[in-house]
Amino acid sequence: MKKLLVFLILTIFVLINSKGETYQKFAENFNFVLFFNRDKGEIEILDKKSNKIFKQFPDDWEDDFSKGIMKFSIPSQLVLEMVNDEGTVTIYNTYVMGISRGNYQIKKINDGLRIDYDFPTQNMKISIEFILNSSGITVRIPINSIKEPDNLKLNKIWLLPYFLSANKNDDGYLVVPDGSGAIVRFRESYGIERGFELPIYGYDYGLPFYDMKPKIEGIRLPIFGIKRNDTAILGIIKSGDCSANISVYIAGNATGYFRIYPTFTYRNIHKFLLYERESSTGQAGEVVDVLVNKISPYSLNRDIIVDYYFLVGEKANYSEMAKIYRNYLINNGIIKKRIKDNDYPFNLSLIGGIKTKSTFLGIPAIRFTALTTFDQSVEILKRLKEKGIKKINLIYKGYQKGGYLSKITNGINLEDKLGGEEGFRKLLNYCKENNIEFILNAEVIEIHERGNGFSFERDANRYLNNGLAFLYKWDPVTKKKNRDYDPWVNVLPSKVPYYLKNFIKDAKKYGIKGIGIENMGDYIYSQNKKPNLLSREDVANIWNETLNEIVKNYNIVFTHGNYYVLPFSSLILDFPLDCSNFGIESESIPFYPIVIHGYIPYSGKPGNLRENYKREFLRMVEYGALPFYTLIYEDSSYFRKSIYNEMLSSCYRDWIDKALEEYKKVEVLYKITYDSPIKSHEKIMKGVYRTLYENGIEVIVNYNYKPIIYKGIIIEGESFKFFKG
Amino acid sequence: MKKVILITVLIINLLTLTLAGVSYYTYIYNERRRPVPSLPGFEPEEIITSENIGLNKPLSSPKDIFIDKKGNIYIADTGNNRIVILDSEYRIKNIIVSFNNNGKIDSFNSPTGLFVTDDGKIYIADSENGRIVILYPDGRLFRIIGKPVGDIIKKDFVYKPLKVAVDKLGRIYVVADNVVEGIIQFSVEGKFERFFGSNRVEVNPIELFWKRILTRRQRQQLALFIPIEYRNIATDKDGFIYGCVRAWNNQVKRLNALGDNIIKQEGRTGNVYGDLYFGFTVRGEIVDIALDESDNLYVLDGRVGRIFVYNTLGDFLFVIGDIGNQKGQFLYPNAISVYKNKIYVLDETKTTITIFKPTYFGELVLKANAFYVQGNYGKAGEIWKEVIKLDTNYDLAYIGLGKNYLHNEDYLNAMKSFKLGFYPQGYSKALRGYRIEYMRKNFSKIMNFFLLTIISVYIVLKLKGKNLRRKFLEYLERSEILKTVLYAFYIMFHPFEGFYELKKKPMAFYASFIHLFFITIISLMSRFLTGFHFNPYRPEEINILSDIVLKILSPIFAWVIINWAITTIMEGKAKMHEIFITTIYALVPSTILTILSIILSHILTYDEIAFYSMIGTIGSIWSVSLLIIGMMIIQDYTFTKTLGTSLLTIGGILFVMFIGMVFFATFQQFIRFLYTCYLEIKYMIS
Repeated sequence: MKKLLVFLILTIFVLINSKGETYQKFAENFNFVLFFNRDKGEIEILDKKSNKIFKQFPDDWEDDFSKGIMKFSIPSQLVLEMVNDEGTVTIYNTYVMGISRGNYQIKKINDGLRIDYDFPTQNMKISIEFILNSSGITVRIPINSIKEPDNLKLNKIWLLPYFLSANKNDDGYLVVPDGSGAIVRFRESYGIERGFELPIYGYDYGLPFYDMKPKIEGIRLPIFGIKRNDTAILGIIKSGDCSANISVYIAGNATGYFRIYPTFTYRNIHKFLLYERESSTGQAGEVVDVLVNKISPYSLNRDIIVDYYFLVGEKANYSEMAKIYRNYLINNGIIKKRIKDNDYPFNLSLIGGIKTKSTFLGIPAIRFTALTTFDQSVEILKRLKEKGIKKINLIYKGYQKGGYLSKITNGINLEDKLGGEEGFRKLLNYCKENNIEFILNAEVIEIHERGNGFSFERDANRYLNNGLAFLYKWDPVTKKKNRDYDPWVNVLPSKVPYYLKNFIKDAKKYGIKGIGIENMGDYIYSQNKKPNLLSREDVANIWNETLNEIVKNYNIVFTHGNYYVLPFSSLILDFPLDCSNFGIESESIPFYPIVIHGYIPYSGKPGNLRENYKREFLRMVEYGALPFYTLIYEDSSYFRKSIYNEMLSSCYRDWIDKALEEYKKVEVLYKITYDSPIKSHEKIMKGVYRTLYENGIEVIVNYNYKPIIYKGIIIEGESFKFFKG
Repeated sequence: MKKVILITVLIINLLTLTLAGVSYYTYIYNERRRPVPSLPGFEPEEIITSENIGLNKPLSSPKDIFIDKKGNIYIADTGNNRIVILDSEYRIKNIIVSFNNNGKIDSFNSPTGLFVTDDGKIYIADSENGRIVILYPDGRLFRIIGKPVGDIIKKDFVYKPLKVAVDKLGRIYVVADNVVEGIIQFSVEGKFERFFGSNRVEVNPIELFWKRILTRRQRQQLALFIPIEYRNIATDKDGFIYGCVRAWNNQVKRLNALGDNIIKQEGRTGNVYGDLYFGFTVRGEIVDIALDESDNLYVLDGRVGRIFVYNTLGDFLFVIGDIGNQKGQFLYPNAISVYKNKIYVLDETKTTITIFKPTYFGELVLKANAFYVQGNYGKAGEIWKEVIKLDTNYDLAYIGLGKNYLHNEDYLNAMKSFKLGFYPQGYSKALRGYRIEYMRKNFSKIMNFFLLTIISVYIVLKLKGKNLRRKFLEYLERSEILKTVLYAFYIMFHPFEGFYELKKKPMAFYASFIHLFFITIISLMSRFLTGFHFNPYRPEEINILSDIVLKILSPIFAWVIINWAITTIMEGKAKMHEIFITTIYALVPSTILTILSIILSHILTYDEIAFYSMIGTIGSIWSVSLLIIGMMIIQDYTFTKTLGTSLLTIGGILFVMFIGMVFFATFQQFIRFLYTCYLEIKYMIS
């Protein structure tokens, strides 16, 4: 009897403790073990050194308040948004349709496992692979494993939506790649706020849209992360990033968990406006847009690959995550050290001229107005040099016939009113002799006027319905198109290299070594002009090839810094130094600055266009950005009558003293931090932040009005101080 | 037994924001009522949520906030039937759930309005209980004011007080649901006094007569007012009552003791508060207003989610905020309050309070504005200069600078500033000053110039006069066309003979085209070269071609053709080309006087507008007379018949225009229909 009892107890003990039964081991390496639980359909990774476990979804999901589709998305590996011809969306998830009904097959593969889902009723197939590597796992959806049903098309795929999740009791935050970076703390309260889903690398202008987009910084890097108690996960999208959105939600938005995950668009839906009609609410004057949905004939044509990195203990914070990403970029040759010494530059952009509405003998006309001639540019540079600015990067725009924002720069066609050939050469010589890097701006993405070898009909991008893909100014009052101004177009992505190469040819003639390409680093768009349809991935490849050629002999300057321009950037302007300040974002973090500081130099938006001068200056110092101004010689009021009336202030006489003051203020600090990467960043207390560099320099920035004391030193309100070692 | 719950929270974990840039688009309206980009005047500083102030029960549909003199924040937590009070450090000071009403414990039912007087008494609009509850600062009951009673109040009136305000004398003003007679005014003791702030109508004799005859009951029901429904009320630092109403314009009122609207609307946006236009999906609704220490007006639109700031003269200063899920954006903002220089906005749906503070730019504008509205243009001018440096689109700064220059008698600079800021009234004043100054400075030079001209012309005429005259006449003899063209001058003064002779002149038709050319040129010149203050326009807005076709050529040809049609029926003897010639020649005096107008417009000012218009009127009358006389001659009509056919012609033109518009509209619809069909087919096939 006793023996039986002991035997029973032992069996039960073994059963309870054996992971082997329910959790099956599929791979193991030096650092991790990969398990899969057949009953739950859950992946689990064990970190051998710390004994921490990373689970695919929260254990207590069944007790969550959510219901229906939202609830079952929690344990699903994939959630699929299907769409029919009318645009009605149906949601499939792999938990209900796959795991619980047994509609899946598991295969062991090298270093991991593969799950093939086959939904016979829906006639839908998709597979997912989990592969263990030295720093975590790689998740891959082989694109040829996707088979769509006959009557429904696959629009979006949510990948592991609750792998990076937490609840209100957890300590930590989500890391969102919004602008410079942002965190969503779990222990903070937000009132009743909504989450968001934003596209990586900007909205696709190859698809029509009818409402003004919100004012956001945009997602520049294909990463996302979480810090939960003492572990952290960093996700890096290696393939499929051009077709991905990042989704971020807080506990209370449909479920009780904070979560962040990528959403891949397999097949786009293009919406075309048929007409506007009275809305069914009966409210007088209310009108809705009646749209026709067209499902894209082409789909994502490469595998979806996401790497997940696991961090534990002291390494579980956003500074370490940024450093891991930096190492990843260095090891893959994406970024190189472009900063060779401590000679930090002052970035200056000058605009030659622009078309303005004026009168000629009483008759209204739109004419070119010179804002900064070549000689005047030399004058401004002289002033800066005299006042002690040692190194300057000069980005010159609006030099071509017609000025800024007019014709394409298919070569260099100098505007005579600015001084013509002679004046231009004088300017180039002055720069060469005075340690000023001259960078000439190429406008080959957004074009306002035909001419110079560019025709709207032949060379501009179109929508799927063959209409020209126009770009508009927007009316902030109604959030609709502002018809006071003429629309303009994007160049066909496949033709951009052609115009760029012609530009380079002419640049070579003048001996110009630096070029700037407008818009390319800000967004990427699909080509929908038949018969040559290109997805954003294809476009990124095409541009990549051309840039690879150009970067061998030229320094290229981009704006905004989308990931795909990083390998070719010598300088990034309009770099994000803030997040979009969504209600759920607790604060902005310098994720992107930590990644590239010391390697690639960057500046935020021009100092003369700041919305809050002092604050944004402090942010510039906190995030290690260079001073940057966009100026003209003439009075600022000329821009009022041009299409570029967002230029609220640009006259150099109004700004030169402030610019110099700024340069002086950061001179000592930047001399010692310019070529050093950032080691860590943290919030010390309300309104006070600390940036620590690899070489030991600490920068404390105090945003409060009142002074604070740090390490025995007083730091005045709205100012900064730095400490050595 | 009063029940007051006191919770002390030790750790405040407010969402203090360290933003670099704002999440909403900011703009101002230019003189064409279109938005242009502008720097933000305020940015979000803090966001208060139920959790981060430590409320155990979160706020539910809060409908009002009020900040008292010391900075304490009072929140009407409507859904929870209580009042939450925070101190100026955002810590919970008090939560009032109930109060002692004559020994019984009484509580609120949907408290939607709040007001706190200087002595700390709290006035609560207890809407579903139909009363105003007044509490002492410590929560004891002071008084309850119930439903208003009076002759004018209907017996079956359902009293639902939504908002409450108190003036410096202690009189109580209530905005009640479904009341169109205005704001309900109570005396200090709580007795109903009258309806306040409704548009009073002058009683006319007929109404007085009816009043005598009708019974008392019928009299009561006579409407003696224009219906007006108030949405919310507020007071300024002097205790004046401000109200906002549901309307498309004049939405905000500043009421004096009589209840008349005395708000100043001297700004560019005139009597429209909020956005000047809307798209199709959202229409604005002003839900609350607030005033600061300088009497600047803050207007909250709950549907577009924006706060509009105006100065005490009615000038548009800033707009901030938006609908959305970023910081500084709302889902449904329903109450606004201003304390020191910060704006507090309550969002009913998000259950949060967003606190805005001025940006550096906003501070500059507010400082300059404070001097400006007092008339201290000098100090304001120095700061306006800084404002322009930061934001070149900010027209008010140019106007402020212009007024400063004007005050300092620097007329040329004043004119330049007023032109940039697009302020014709100021430009006119500056021009007047400039003119006087110019005259004064150069008086001798001008006089000398005139004398010299007169003397030299006299000498030339005396010596060579006859010679020149002879040569000119000879030339005239040779050129028939020139003679015919110049004949117009003869016709101007001798119409009867003139037109008669004109019929016989062979070159008349071609000469008319030459005249038409000059008429067109001079009309265009009048459009572009007239002085700025008489003809304010932005040159880039004009389209020459459409001006020529629509404003000059079309009327002339319309008149000629239709007149011909009518007079042919009415037995007129003239052919179409004769009508054409006559019409053109009749226009000559008006055109010549237009030249004079153009010149004068650069010398005269607004005050002399009568004189300026007179020139135009003389020209018109002259031309019309010539036209009538001419018609009489060529058609061989009597005077009355000419008048008659002319009126018929005008009627005919209007008729043609009407038919044209109807046709055009129908045609447009038809084209639209075809296009929609085409689109549908296109999408179905491809």
